[in-house]
Amino acid sequence: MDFQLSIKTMPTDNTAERIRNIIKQHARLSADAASLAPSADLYEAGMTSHASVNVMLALEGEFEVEFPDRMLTRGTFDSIASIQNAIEELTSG
Amino acid sequence: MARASGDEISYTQDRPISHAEFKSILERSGLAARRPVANLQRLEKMLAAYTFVVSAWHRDKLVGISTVWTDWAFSAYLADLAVDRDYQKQGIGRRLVDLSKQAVGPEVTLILLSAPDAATYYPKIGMERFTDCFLLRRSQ
Repeated sequence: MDFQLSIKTMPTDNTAERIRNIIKQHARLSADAASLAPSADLYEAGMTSHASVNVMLALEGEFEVEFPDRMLTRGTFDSIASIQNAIEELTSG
Repeated sequence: MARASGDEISYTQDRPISHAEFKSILERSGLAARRPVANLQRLEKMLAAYTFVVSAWHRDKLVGISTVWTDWAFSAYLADLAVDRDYQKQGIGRRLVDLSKQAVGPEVTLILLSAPDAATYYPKIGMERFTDCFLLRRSQ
């Protein structure tokens, strides 16, 4: 039971999937969010800085975190992988 | 003002603001003394012209607003930064400015004119005081 529980709460793949869903809903990409590589540049895929705020606010709601000022940069939100790193940093510890 | 945990401020760029809500937040923030709040038509024109509005909500109550015009390429003007007096000193203004800056992106300078009694606030949230700023004042 404990083992199953710990599997259930393993974050990695699930986190990426949840991020991808938020990007699909809020990033207004020209490409299909489902086909994006984790390292693909979201701005090159059509995300505007304005849309990045909607992505960030949706991520805060989804993961119950608040991005601190130091993370409010283009680099934090430029790919699924960088978003995932930021979320994992905020939710760890 | 203390709030219970989970009872947080939410921020959005998408929620429409009525001119009555706009008037109300200007009044509750203290900014009304410097805005044409007696003229709803004028407030409506202001609100309709902004490129985007970031707003802060406590449940269904508008508690803060940042209104911005921008060309998305070089300059942005933050026209009204207003936070309800009961919700000030909780970082809401800072968050509204940060979200506005993030929304306009790294190529764009965000510019605002401070009310005299708020001029000590902006350097505290990381904004640079710029003295070479010039105005042709409105006459009405």
